Amino acid sequence: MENAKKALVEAGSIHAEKYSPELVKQAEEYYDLAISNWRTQNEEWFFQRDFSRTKNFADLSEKAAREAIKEAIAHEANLSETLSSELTELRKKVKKSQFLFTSFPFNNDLKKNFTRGGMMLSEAELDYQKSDLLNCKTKLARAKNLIDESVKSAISILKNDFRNYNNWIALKDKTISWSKANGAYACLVDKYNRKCYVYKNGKLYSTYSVELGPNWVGPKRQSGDDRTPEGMYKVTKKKSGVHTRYYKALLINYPNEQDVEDLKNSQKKGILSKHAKSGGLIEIHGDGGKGFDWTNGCVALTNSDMDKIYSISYVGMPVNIVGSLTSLNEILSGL
Amino acid sequence: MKSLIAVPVLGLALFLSSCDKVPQVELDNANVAINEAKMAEADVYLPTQFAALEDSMRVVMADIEVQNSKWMKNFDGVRTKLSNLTSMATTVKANTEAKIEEIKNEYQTAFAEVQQMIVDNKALVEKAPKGKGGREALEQIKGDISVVEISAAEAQSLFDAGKYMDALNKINAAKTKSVELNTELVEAIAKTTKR
Repeated sequence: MENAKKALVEAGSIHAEKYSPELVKQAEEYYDLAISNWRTQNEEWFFQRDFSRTKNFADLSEKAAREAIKEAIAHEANLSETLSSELTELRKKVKKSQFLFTSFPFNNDLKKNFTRGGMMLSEAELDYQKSDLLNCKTKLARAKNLIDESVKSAISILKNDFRNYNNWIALKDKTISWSKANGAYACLVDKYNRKCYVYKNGKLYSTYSVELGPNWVGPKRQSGDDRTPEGMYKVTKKKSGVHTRYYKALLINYPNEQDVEDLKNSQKKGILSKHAKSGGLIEIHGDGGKGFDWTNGCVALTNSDMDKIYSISYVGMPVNIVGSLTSLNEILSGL
Repeated sequence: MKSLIAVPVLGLALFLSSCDKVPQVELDNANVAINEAKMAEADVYLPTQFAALEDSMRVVMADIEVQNSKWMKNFDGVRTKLSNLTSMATTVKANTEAKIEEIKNEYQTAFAEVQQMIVDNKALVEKAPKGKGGREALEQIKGDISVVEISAAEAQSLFDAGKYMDALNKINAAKTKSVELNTELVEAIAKTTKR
């Protein structure tokens, strides 16, 4: 009985009931049976007492308790190491993935799920610090699910958005070739990198930082979607002074034929309402330098940069706009 | 002859029956005290101390049977242990109540801090259009602030349901996130001011 008692106390001291609940319960039940049997035998006349069953139950209790201790020690050590590693990995993943949700205009629910995952991870980390490993394990699993699902959804959306990457690279090459063949200036806007490249005679002449519409990913579909269009355009008008409210502006021919056709196709497929319109008045203009994407779809430069580009531009100058000259693989390489 | 044998046998039986008895009152008191500690959730908030009570009760039960096994029973040692156990259980109950109060106070402090940081962070967002690489970053921060608000509300629900440890964990996680956001915003604004 003494041995069984010691084994149970030892099991309790390492919280074996958390890691081996069945064995601990068994040990306690055998111990209770031993006590009960002992009590019963003590009520018998001295010479009629038989403690063999008491001893048997006590032995079974000690055996179960010792097994519970062994299992709990192994399980806890293993769990602690596993959780430590998983917490570190998931925290690294959150840090690496954070940029996705600050660089691309995903919907609010997706972003919130990512944040919730991050906060659940913080709770799991607090549980680990308090050695509450089982709660840590539960919360870590929930955090991982939220974070993994958010990142997976984000990447899936980006893969769809970047399906035209090869076309974008081809358009860059076309811009440079055209500039070289015609000995003229041509513009190329890279939306992801927020850059406007000006080529002269096929060589890079200058580079300017730009700001776009807030919903900049993907081609412009309709009026009011705050998107900067993608495709091949030309300057149709130069504006300055009272003719523009943005310091200086270069109007481009959005929507072009492709944009009109895309709108019709989208309406036929039911993606856009039959009342949707392409919109217009997309320009390269000044008043940029705000540090964020604020336009209704136009390409904004600082006034000093606008002066430079305005000075070399002409009606008919190509303004080609692409989603990104950086591949999605490169963007996601840190993940 | 039979009467000569019967008298000493009867005397012996009488002698044996007058030996010490199991201290049932003390045993019941100890059980009540342990139960009260459990009702106060000592097993949740002070699991080690509560486990020690249960272990001590096991020791006492075994000691009772050791005495029951003897010809000459003496439960004085058991009585002392039961008295100590009752005292210990009362102390554990008081310690539990104190622990709960401590956790509740810690929670309420953290909750108030989080609420203030939510207000502060929302004000900072209005001042921080630059330096974050885009509107998406600010939108993300606004989204994060609203998640912190939801999390704080969930923490309060846990608190109201009496799940104080869970509530404290959740509000501390919300606080960590709020501090992170506050630091991000303050740094972004500082960069803008230096330009």
